[in-house]
Amino acid sequence: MVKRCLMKLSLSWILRHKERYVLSWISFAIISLFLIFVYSLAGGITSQVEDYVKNDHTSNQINIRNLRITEEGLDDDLNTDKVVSLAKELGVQGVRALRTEEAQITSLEGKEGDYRKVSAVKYYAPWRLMLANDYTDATSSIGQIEGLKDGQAIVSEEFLRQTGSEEKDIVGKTIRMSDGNEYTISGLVKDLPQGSFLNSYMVFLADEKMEDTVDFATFDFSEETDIKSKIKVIEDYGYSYSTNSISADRMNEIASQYSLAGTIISVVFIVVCMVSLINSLLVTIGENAAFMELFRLLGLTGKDYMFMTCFTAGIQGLIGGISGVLLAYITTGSLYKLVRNLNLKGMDIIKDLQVTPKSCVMTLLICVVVSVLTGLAAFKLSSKVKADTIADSELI
Amino acid sequence: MIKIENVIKNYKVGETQVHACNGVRLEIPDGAFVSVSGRSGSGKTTLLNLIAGKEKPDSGKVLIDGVDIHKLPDKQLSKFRNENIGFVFQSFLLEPSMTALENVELPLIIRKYSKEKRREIAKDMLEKVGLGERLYHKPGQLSGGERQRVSIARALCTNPKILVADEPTGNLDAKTGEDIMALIRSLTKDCTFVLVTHDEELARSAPIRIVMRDGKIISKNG
Ligand SMILES: Nc1ncnc2c1ncn2[C@@H]1O[C@H](COP(=O)(O)OP(=O)(O)OP(=O)(O)O)[C@@H](O)[C@H]1O
Ligand SMILES: [Mg+2]
Repeated sequence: MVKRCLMKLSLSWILRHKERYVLSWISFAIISLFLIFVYSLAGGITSQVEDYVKNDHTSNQINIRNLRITEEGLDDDLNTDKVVSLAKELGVQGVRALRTEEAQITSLEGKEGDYRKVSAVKYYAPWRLMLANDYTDATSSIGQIEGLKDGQAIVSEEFLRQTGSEEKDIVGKTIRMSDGNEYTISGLVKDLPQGSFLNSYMVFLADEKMEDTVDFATFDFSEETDIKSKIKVIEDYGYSYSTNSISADRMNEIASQYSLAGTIISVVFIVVCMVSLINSLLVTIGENAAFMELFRLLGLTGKDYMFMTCFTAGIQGLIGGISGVLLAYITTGSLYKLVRNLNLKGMDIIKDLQVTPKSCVMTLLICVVVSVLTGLAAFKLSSKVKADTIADSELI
Repeated sequence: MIKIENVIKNYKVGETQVHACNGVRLEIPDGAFVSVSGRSGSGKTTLLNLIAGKEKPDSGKVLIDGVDIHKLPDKQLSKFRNENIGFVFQSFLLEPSMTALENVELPLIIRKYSKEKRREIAKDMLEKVGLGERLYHKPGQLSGGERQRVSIARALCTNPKILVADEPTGNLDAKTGEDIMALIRSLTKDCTFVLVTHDEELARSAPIRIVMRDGKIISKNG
C-alpha cells in the first residue's frame, strides 16, 4: 500500500518533469536497439553455422593441398603415393583425389558453337574403390560413373543447363575438350543432392590411368572423428588443409568475438546512459528533498525514498527499453539491407535478420536492471552531495 | 511528558561554529501548551527539530515518555514520529500533484490503514478544519489559509500526542492567522502543543512561555 502510493507519486513526479528524462529515454532506446541487433545478429550467425555444420556433409572432410614454394616456383601438386600413405596414417575409410581442369568444350556433335567455359574433372577410376561407404550423398551418381569406359564422359544436369541441350539428345554425342581429346557422352548425372561435391563438376571423364600427382585430396571421416586431432598429422606432412569443421569453429569464434565487442561497446553506452540518468535523478532528488524531509516526519524511512528513486529510474529504463524494442522491429528491414552482404569464408552468414523475442526480453531486462542500479547509485550519491543539489522545494 | 536534558546542538559552517542549542533543559508536561519565542536565529526551530527527532543533538537527551528518541534506529524513529508527533510548518509542504484528501491521507497510508478507513478519517479531519467542500482540490487551487488547514488536518489525523508548529501563521494575514490559531487550539485540547511564534500576543496566550536567545532559554514562566 505504501509502495503503491510511492509508485504513484514517483510517476506523477516523472510526468511533471518529462523533459528532464527525455535524454535518458533516448539513450536507453539507442542502447537497447543496439543490444537487440548485436544479440540477434550473433544468434543468427551461430544458428547459421550450426545449420551449415548439421546439413552439410562436408564438415567431416579435410581437403589437403600442396602449396610449397620451391626453387622452380609454386609446387602445387600432391604426390599420389604420399597421399595414400597419409590416408593410411589418418586411418580414413576413403580418400578422393582429384585433378581439376579448366576444360573448354570446343564442340559438341550436332551442336556447333561457342560454349561456355565449364569446369570438368577427370575421374580416376581406381580411386573410386577407396570412397567411404557412408558417403551416401554421392553414391547414386558414383554408380553411373563406375560404368565409364575409356573415351567416354558423363555430363551433369548443370552441363545440360549451360549448353542448352535436351536430355534425350545428349547421350551418344561427342564433346571435345580443350586438350584435344574427344569423349562420347554415355550418361547423365541426375538428381544430385544439394551440396554434393559432384555438383561443382559438370563433366566426368573416364581415365583409367592413375597419375603420379593429383591437385587435391579429400579425406572423409566418420562423424565422431575429432577433426582437430587429425590436423597435426597433415601439418607434419607439410600440406595445407581446409576443413569446414574448423571454419565452423572459427565462425562461431567470430560470432562470439563479435558479440563480445558488441557487449564492450554496450558497456560504454550504458555508462553514458547511467550518467545522464543519474543527473536527472539527482535533480529530482534535490528538488524533492523538502518533501522527503516531510515524508520522514510523517513516518517514512530513507529506504522508502531509495525505493522511489530506484522505481523512478527503473521506469526510465523500461520506457527507453520498450522504445528500443519497437524501434528494432521497425528498423530490421533497412538494417538487414546494410548487413546482408557480410560474408565469412565465402559463406553468407546473414541470410536473415530477425529480432528475436529472446533478445528483446534480455535487452529489457538489462535496461531495467541497469536503470534500477543507477537509481541506487543516485540515491547513495545524493546523501553525499545533498547540500549542493537541494533546489527550491516543489511543495506548496 | 517531554524531557529535554542539557541538549547541545552546534552547526559548523566553514570556520564559524553556531551554537544553535546551547545546553537547553526543559520539561513539558502532557497536554501542555508551550510557546517558544525569541529573536530570529535564536534556535527556536532547532529546538523544535530536536524535540521532533528531525535533528540529532551533539550531546544531551530528548526523552518522550521516557524514550530517548535519538537512540532509536531510523526505522523506529520514523514509526515513533508517525504515531506520536504531528507537524505544522510556516510553509505548508503539500504535494501539488495530490488532492487535499490524498495529502491528508499520507500519514495514514504510512500507517497502513485500509483505504476505507483512511478516507473516512481524512474526510472527517478536513471537515473539522472547515474544508469539507474542498476535498478534491489540489493545493494549487486552494488559498494560503486553506492550505495551512490541509496541513493541520494532515498533522492531526493521526491523533498525535504532540503537535509541533513552527510559525504556522507566518505566511498568513492577521485575520486568517487568528482563525488558524483558534482552529489549532480547538483541535489540540488533549495533546501537547509546542508552538514557535514571533507573535508576542500569541506567545503570551500560552500557559507556558519560553523565550530563547543564542541557543539558550532565557526565560520561562508557568
Ligand atoms: N542546517 C544548518 N546549518 C548551519 N547552521 C544552521 C542550520 N540550521 C540552523 N542554523 C543556524 O542555527 C541558528 C539557529 O537557527 P534556527 O533556525 O533554530 O533559528 P530560529 O530561532 O528558528 O530563527 P527564525 O526565527 O528566523 O526562524 C541560526 O544562527 C542558523 O544560522
Ligand atoms: Mg525558525
